[in-house]
Amino acid sequence: MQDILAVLMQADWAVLLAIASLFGSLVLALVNLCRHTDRRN
Amino acid sequence: MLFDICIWVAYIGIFVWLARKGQGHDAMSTGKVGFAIQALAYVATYISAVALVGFGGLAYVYGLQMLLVAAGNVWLGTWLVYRFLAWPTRLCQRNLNARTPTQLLAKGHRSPLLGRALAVLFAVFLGVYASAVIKGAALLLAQILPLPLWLLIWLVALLVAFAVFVGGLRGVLYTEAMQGFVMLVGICMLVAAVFSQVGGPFQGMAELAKLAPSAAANEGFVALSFGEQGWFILSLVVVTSIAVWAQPQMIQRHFALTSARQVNRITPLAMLVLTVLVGGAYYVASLSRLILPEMTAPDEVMPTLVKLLLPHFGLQVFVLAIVSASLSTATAIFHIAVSAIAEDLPGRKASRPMWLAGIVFCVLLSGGCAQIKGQLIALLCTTSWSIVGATVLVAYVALVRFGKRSTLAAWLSAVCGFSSCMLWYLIAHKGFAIVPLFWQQAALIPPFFVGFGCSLLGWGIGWALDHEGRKSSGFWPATMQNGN
Repeated sequence: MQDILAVLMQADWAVLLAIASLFGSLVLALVNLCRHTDRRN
Repeated sequence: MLFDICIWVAYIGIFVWLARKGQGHDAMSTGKVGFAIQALAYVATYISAVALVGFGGLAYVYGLQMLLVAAGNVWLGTWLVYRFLAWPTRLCQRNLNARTPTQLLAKGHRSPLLGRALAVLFAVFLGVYASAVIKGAALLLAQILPLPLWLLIWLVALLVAFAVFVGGLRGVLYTEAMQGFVMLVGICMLVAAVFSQVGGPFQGMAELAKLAPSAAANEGFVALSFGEQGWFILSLVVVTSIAVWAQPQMIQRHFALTSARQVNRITPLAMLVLTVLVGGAYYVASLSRLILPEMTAPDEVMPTLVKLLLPHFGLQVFVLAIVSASLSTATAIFHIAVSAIAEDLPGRKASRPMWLAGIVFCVLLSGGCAQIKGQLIALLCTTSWSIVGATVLVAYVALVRFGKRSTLAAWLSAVCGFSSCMLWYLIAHKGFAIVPLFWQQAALIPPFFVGFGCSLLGWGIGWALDHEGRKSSGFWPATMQNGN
């Protein structure tokens, strides 16, 4: 985990923002998909 | 060889089978379409081969800052669209009984003449733009099929025309969904291959951070560039993520929605697929700098990477993915251009012969333009996305999101947006400027920004002057305001 953080800290704010928002969209998408699938079942 | 033939025959077989799903439906109606099909179709329409191969090459040149474009596409170009525009568009379309995006705007702003003007704009710009997309697919196919380019161009144009003629909008949505899935498989294979080559995403990023800055990535490959280069990336984010809102082929994707709840299921899936597609493609294209020798032509980066890392089967799948990206965009554009010619321009519901005549016209226009190399065609292809966005965006958002209806404001915004954007290309674009630049820095301002600003100004003036329009602009009935 610390290694990953160390790598990420080498990027500037714009690239970090892009990575965080893409990662966020992945998580949000998966959570939402599971929630809607659950509701359907 | 036999294996390759099987893959392509299976691909075309599934394509034809899915296109036939639209048989028996009206060419403009979708019928009931599942959320997964709609999500994949939206992404497949959005992402063309230019986004994967062209922007992949840019990611090699500019590094991980290209992820900003991917993030913009996911959040501004997809989440924001489905959150604020998709369902209001569907309600508006249903309420106005509009069959095409052109009719939506014409009926919404109570101007049949505006509809005819937009139909001409869409037919010309999108018809010619389709030629570039079709030629891209043909060029790729020429690398693996022993056929001349001119023949491949006509074959691709006929395949696209077949889907539009047989399937109508419903068939187009199904074929696009299949193509979106193929794109996803192709990019996943490439991402896995690159990650295993560089030791994983974080190891690769650490190695990338150690590289010396270049002219394009002047702050290194894991940072936003300073000056013109950084501005170029940010403008790319805006043009690819905001101009997309008003592209008619994207607006039309919302016509298939059946309920507001369906939007909640489409949004995450579309975001997921888009994140993997563009996020994955740009990430590995940036990391490819660690694997590939110095490349002079950015467009060669993705094909070279694929040839180097993927086995023969993977190569075929990736070519299929890129061809799919082109075909899905081409079918969507074709459908809009054909409906503009066959229905919007005459101002009445298209008959079957009229629909066929529209398709023949579009095949000849797109196939013909793809065969010749001319400055005017290059101008139309390059400017299409920005011009259409600058012309339509303000009037479209004002109508569907804010319920504002005004003939005068819509006309002023469309005319100001179109003319200023086109003018900016002609005086400031490096490739097309026909008069000497009066201001060198002007070239840094993307034409879409200028067109959008002028369009907004035109709308404001028109809205202020149109007293009668303002009075009768209560568009949303009470039931629609509640989102029912």
